[in-house]
Amino acid sequence: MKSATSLLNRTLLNHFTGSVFWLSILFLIGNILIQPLALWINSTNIRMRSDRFIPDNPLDMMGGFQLAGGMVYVIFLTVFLFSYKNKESSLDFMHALPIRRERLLSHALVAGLIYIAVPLAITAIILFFERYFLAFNISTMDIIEWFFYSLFVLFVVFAFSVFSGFLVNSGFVHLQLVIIIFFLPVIFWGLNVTVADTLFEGVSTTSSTGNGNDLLSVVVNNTFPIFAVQQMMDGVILWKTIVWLILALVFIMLSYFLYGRNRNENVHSTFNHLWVRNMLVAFLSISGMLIVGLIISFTLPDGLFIFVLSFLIGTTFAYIVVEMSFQGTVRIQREKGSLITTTIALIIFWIIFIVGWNQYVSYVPDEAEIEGVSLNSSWNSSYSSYGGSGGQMKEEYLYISDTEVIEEATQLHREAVEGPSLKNSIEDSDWVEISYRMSDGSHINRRFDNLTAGSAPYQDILTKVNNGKYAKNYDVLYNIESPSEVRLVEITTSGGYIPIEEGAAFVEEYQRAAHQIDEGIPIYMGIGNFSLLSANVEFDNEFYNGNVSIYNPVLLNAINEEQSITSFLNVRNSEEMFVISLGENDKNEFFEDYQKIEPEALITKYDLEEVTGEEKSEILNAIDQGRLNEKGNRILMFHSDAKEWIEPGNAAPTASQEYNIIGIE
Amino acid sequence: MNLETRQLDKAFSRQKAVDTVTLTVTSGTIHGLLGSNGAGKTTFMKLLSGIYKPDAGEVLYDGVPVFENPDIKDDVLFINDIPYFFNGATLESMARFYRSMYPRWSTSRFEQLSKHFNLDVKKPLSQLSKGMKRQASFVLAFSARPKVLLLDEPFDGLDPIIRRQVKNIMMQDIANHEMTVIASSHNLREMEDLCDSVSIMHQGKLLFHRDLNEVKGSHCKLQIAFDTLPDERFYREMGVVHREVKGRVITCIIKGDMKHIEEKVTKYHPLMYDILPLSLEEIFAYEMGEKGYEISNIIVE
Repeated sequence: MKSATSLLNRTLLNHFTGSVFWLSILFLIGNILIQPLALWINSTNIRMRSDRFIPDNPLDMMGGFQLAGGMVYVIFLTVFLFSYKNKESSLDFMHALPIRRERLLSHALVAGLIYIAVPLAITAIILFFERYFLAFNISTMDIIEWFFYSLFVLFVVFAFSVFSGFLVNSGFVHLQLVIIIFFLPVIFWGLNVTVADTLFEGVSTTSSTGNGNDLLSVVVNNTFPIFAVQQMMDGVILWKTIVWLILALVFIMLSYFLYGRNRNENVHSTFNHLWVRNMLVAFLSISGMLIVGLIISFTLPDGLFIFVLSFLIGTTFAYIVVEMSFQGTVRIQREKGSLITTTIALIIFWIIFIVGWNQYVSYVPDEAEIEGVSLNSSWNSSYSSYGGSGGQMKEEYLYISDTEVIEEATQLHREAVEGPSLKNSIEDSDWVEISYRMSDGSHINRRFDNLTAGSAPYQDILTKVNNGKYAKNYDVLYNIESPSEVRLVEITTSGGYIPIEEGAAFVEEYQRAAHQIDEGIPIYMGIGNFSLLSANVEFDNEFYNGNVSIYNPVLLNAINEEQSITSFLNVRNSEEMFVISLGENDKNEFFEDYQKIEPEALITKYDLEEVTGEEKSEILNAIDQGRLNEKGNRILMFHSDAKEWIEPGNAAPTASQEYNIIGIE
Repeated sequence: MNLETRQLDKAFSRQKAVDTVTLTVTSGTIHGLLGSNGAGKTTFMKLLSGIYKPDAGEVLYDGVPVFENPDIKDDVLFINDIPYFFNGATLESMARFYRSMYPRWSTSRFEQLSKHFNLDVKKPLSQLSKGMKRQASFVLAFSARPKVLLLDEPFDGLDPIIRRQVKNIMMQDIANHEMTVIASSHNLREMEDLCDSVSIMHQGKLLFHRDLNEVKGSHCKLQIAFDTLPDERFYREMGVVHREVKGRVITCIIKGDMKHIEEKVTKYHPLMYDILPLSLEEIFAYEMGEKGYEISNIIVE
């Protein structure tokens, strides 16, 4: 009953809640299926198979699906809750009632929030009781955190969805608009970067190093649905959460503002505000232009005329499709406003695009501001990470701070910037990436197709970097920031892998032992994706792969516990092996030759004799006993079967491409 | 509750649907808003009900604006030409909703009226015929006991008996509670025996606004036959404002002193004569003709 003292009219609230009641039941069932039931199934399975992986917080297992489903539910909830404003009869009826629009909106919002919170609360209560019967632990705090985080995510989506609903007067377009608001920025930026990558030298779409902060990730990580799921997996970033919450509240306030301003008579128009429509048409047309233009320019031969033509066709195509969609008919009317807005937007877009990207790719940072440099190439990348942002690694990882290396890298960078462009070439699979870690903590990444991995300047730097003094920079285990967070380590070689369950303890010991390894001698680390040894490191939601040091005694012990070192390293089965004794002064020259000249030339130059028979057995036994020596003067060079197929180039292979080397006692 | 609109404007895109309309309707009267399709009647009604915000001008009830004013809207109820009910609603559930919205709602009246119109309160309204839906909307409106009832084409789809019953209830409410009714229609005859005052809209403008009792008291129709047709002096003396001559029979509209018409007529020795009250259509024909409009262009039926 209406009451002067009550804030809400119960009948009106019932009206709104009643309109979406069954939808909320679907959401509740979905939640129960995705969380309590999925946990129950996992619990049953784990009782049968004890090796099944369960994360620290088991609610994370299906958390992503649950949030994604929840977001879709909230969008539909909003569309149905506010469907009255899309039909003249219902809108007239509601607005003829003795109730202000703000109060109508408040009632609808409360109804929406109730139907977001109640199904979540019921699921939380089920989880609370279910946890006593599961094979793994879920704490009360986990459930409370899950509840409030889900509530936060769905509230933000709700706020955006409500706001976008007041821009349009059609349920279908409302759905489209919510998706556009959430994903158009990331799609638009992604297309921008992709087209720029096609047209310009130097654009690095995804970086091999640098904490994963590349051109795309900046926008991808701040796209709310992606951000929401990422946070659930990686942990909550408080300030970002607060920013999103404030934004959501701002959008709710804007909804009140818009509702107060919206004209009832606009109910027959798809959009309440023409400028919003025109801007959207322009943005979507430009996005469509980039997609269609990209496809056409890929399939047709290179050339300015073809380029302009393909983007013109793309614009026309996209504009017609968007107008059809917004007008709801294939027989579209010419909209002068949207045509003019789109034309102006196109001109502005291309000016900003060309000027902006030109500045971006021609920029070479000042050497004084560079803290470290990392070099990677298409076939020779030292590092990879999945599911994470590189946040588990130390800043120095893969970055060399030697001023001489930095100087050569910037020189290489300048040459690449000034060199001819090889863009738009289909055969541009060979590239070199230069990544800088700047003194302000930021990263600058550039990727050049006009620099090939086999090119002399690049190889020169690589030879310089393949040095014992940088070994620790390239050691994935040594550079783990918090070893206690490591879940699992796998030591891998071409022939197999050794899993180390007590990953955290292993890494801690490995790091302690690594300090003992001498940095003063040049020792080939094999900077590339096919070194002698590498390790996979698994965290809760992140995974890294990189080089490790064969000279680390902790690592050798770990191998020895599982199998012989020589078998694991494929030394025992090697076709041929050589031992060379070098004086302190000859080492540098040998390492350079090893990387630059052919095997036969190296064997001749250093008069290498193949090791066979008893001598071979003695060496192998010594290796199996862990008697390696990175400081020593004896080096074992053995043939690697696996190396032959992995590295590119038509030129004759260098010794380093066919043989591995180890320092032995 | 007195209604007043001042220089009311409403345009859709560049087309004016309501153009500087000024109107006053006194409390406890029925005002008929007439006009052909597209004249602007519905837009005007939506402005009166506070659904539309005026581009210019004001809609005032007892001097207070209606738009976004729940205190005024508590007493103003609008029934659209096609009554709206929530999806799957029954008359009972709609009554519950109205009860929570309108403070003067009378449940006893609702029960009485739904029984009177023989409406099943538990039946989904979507299953009712057009006429039954219209009756349901009247039941809800009368039960809400508004001070102002705005009706857009109110009697469409009602049979003559129900129509009469609805009109009777409306009359009772006007008499008992001083309810003010504004009803729009494109049907002149429909309004004739109902309204105290009428106005005509055409292309968004209010062409005409008259109190019918006042018009009827000052105008009449005279049908008169002569052996020989009289000269212009007759028309001047009688105060004829409109005439039609067929053979020796003259039909004319007379304005002025109604008391002494017979006295004046007999002076001219007619063969026969008859003094009749004016129908609404005839009043319009005369009034609009004066303003240069053809009534047939405005009123459809």
